[in-house]
Amino acid sequence: MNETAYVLEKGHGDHCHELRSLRPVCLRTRDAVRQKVCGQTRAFWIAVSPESLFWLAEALAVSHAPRRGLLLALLEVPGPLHGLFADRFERVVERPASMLPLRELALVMDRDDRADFCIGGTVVKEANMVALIRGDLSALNVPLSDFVQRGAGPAPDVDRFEIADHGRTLRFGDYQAAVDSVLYEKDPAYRRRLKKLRLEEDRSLGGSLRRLRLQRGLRLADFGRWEKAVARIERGEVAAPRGKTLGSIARRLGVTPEQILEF
Amino acid sequence: MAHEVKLPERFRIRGWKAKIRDRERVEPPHVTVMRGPDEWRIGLRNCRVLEPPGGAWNDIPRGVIDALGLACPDLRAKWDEMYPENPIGVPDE
Repeated sequence: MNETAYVLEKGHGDHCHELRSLRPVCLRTRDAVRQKVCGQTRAFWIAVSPESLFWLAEALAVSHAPRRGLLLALLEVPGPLHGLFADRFERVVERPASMLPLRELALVMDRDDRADFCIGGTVVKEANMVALIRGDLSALNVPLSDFVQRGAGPAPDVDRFEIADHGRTLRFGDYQAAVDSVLYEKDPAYRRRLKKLRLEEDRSLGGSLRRLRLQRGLRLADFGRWEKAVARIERGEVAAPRGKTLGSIARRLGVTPEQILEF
Repeated sequence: MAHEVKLPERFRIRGWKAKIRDRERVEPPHVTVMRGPDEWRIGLRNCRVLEPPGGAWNDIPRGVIDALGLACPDLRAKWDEMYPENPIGVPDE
């Protein structure tokens, strides 16, 4: 990874060892933390022990340096520290209900494409959503209604949610969802990046329309009077459909006509 | 339930997996091969390595490729069962 990784751990625990593929600097004392806070402006900080969070807060409180990168706390952050950390780090994440094992976490965080992985998440039943954390510590909130049973397959069991396969799979009991399918639907930047990679393969409106239709789980018959038009566009028989036709199809897909080409 | 290919033991213990999950990006039909944080999507219509994530057949051990070949009819049937709106029978664009 580009940044230095600091693991803040009191005593001689084994977290540093578990995270060794990040080649971390282990800070085990208050003075060591203070020294690095003063000298380092951009890093990936991993706080392991409760004491280490207070050491970090103390050092930050007397420092006026700019923001210091990312903070991942492998424990609950005491309430009064939230504001300070939010102000002094670009992103702060507390341990979610489910998180990758540390060795897998380290392998993911060491990658340039770490944002394409989920490192943790929490099901928030009251809000009918799952709050996911990506490898760049950004948040991605997904409605639970996005995870639907397929045919005779298992229904998602939200009480057995976990991150699996090094952050590539979301498990809800026996039900498994590919993280890239979620990112593709929920993150326009991710979708655009993939689209760019595919451009040489297919730049057509038909290709985009078909991808979007399939992503929505729709059959041609679901388009009613526009069924034949959709089929013809997808086959490339209509290069420039009429505005009214495309508008109606786009509405059925829940996008604007211009957005079809993003898929 | 996700459909997982039973790979030979010597590859499983080295972390190789191959599966069709219950919620996949649906274009085109594929099986995902994984090892650690790396993955490859193999098209079920024409056995192409799909972009992205990319990579090549050469990245995958021969024993895993052979197991996928043997499992191919089963995988194709499973995909059609799980994703009837995007069946194997429709050719890639």
